[in-house]
Amino acid sequence: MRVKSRERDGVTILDLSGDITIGQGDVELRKEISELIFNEKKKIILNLRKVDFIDSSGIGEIVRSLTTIQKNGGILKLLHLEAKVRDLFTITRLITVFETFENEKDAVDSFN
Amino acid sequence: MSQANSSPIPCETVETLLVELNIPSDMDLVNMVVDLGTSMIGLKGFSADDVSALRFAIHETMVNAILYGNKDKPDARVNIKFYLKGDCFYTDIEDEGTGFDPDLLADPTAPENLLNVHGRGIFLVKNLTEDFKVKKLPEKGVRVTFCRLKRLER
Repeated sequence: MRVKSRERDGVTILDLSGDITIGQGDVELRKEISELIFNEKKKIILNLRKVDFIDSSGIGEIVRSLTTIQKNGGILKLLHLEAKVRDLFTITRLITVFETFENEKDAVDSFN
Repeated sequence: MSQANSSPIPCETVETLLVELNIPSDMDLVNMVVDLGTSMIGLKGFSADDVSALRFAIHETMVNAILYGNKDKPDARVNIKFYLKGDCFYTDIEDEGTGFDPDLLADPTAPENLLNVHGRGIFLVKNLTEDFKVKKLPEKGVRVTFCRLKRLER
């Protein structure tokens, strides 16, 4: 998995690409979130548009990101859940836990 | 990647073996097995939706067999079989572990479990496939079986 971090109107957007799977993307995502928390970033979006494949460990890591960010007073939202990923979030009912967006501007504006 | 029915489906009983593999219990080989299974299901005329569901199911079951069944022991083996029964693409994955009862696993969609980091793998495999079974083998090991019924593209 590759992660690119950028800022838009005070919101940190992590553009994830590739696979988020056990022992690979999950560990990288955890490191990235720890770094954002260390840098006191509170408004975070995970952009999943270019995620090819996610397994149960990857899904678990996104849940861990949510709870870790919330515990530190921040907010996490998801952007561009492609159909296959959305199906997994629907079956596991995680779609009820995350705020999700299909448009980046809407996602950024929702923090204000 | 549409959800499947959890109940067994009336597939033809004639089994056509596509491939059988016996490989070391090595996480680096998971993608090879996934690629082989998804290539075969694609060649047999299954939809992209079916291929995605099978990709997830094979990946999760292989990881489960290597890390939990075989406890990541490098000298343990995993046996994989892909076969067709009518319009059903079957996968058997055997490890050398003691097995688990899928009915005893916690429901990850229950409110108290919803924010757990772990515990969604087998639940998702059961939801994305049909005829999911876990069987203890006579001498040692466990076989997980599931199939994907050919369906139309959404």
